[in-house]
Amino acid sequence: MKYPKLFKSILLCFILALSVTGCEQVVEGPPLRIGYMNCNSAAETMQRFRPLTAYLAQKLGRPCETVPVDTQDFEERFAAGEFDFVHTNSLLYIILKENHALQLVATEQRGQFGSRTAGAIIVKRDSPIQSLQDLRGKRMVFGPQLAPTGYLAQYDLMLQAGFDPERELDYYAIPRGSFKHEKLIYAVYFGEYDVAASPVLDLEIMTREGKISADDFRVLAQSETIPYCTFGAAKENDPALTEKFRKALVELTPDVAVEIDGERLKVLGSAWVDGFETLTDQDYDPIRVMAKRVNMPPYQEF
Amino acid sequence: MLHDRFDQILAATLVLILAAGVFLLATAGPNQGPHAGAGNDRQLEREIVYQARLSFLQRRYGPVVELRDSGALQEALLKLEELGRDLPGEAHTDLLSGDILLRMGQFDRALIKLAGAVRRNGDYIDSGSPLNRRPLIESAVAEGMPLVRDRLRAQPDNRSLAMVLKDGYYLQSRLAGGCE
Repeated sequence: MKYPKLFKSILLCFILALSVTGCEQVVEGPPLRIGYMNCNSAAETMQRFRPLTAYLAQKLGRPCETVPVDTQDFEERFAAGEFDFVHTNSLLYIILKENHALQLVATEQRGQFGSRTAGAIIVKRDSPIQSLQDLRGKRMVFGPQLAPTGYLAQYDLMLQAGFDPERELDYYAIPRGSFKHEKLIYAVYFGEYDVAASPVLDLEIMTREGKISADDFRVLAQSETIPYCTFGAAKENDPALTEKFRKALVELTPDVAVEIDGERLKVLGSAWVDGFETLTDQDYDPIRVMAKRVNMPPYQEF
Repeated sequence: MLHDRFDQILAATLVLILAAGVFLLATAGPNQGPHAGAGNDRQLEREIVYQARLSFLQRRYGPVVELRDSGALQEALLKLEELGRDLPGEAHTDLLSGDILLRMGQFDRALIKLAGAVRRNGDYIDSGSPLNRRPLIESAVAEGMPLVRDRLRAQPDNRSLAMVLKDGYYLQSRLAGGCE
């Protein structure tokens, strides 16, 4: 009689162990909507962030939905209560923070500067332009207007150097459509423009991918580093849920994978992210200072 | 025993080979013994490899050092990205990245890169090595660690900073003579 009892105990332990290790958290309840700012296209956003959303759903035990959002529409849609969490660039974070009390959750890490990045003003290596003052009468191409390191940082650099882009450049433009940052780098490379406002991260990635050579360009000026893309939470969220969301992000490691359409995909790799870090709202103050100097939202005055 | 001419030729060849073997053994032996010779050869080989590595690093990373020294720090970082395509995982890329990031005031990122370099190649903290970069690593630790500690005090749950601190402690330990 002694041995069957022992056998039953071992079996019970085995079943318990299986129940703990073999099952993932049950995903149930009303879905959480996560708005992701489009970088290039809605299709690309979906492809990048579906694995991350699936991972978050597992960790939170709630179904989560990936919603691609156009940068220009973001504030209006967020104000309408469409999203529980958002992933935006750092300027949009400040706009939503100041105007709609968005809560800082975590900052994305990518590239040499980790959770921070910078904006650069670049010319071709053999360009006669040697300083910002030499830009007088030249043709310049910027990134999209709400890009912190593709527009704001460079515009601010010029104002700080006593150069008014509105009056002193011959002409400036913003590329149309997707892949704006790549387009403006190529625009300088092929001589369409004399100078470009390029995010340092795009230069880094294009160099790493062999699309450009480090010898092709010269950096005329570069901004201080500022926080990169950011996750925020709506102020109405349960603080415990927001904390769980933050923890799930900062605990992510490169080997974490989820199943999407029958394929195992690495969560960070798919999203083009190295990791997430918890910054403080004060870390975003340099962007606030720039936005005020450049007279941009949320501090714009007419 | 030797029934025919073929047997005789075989026997003569065998004797010839044995004689040649004995002659070679008697004349080719080194004066200092076989182990000392092999040791010298290995040392020479190591020296040749080391010199070749130094010259290789100077040749490949020379443009990065030139850019860095002229103050073109971002261009130097981009050049390192480019080199990373040809030389993935090379410790010298991490070392120079750490150096440049330190000059840019990116202390936490510099500590991560320098710790990566030292993990891959201990020569960077070996005072006797031509690759020794102890002053650089000491200054990164001295300048960076207090800042990282301060930030971590304000944000005790910042895992990324905790990892940087760990890298800093690793460098401190290696500088103090600790092993891997």
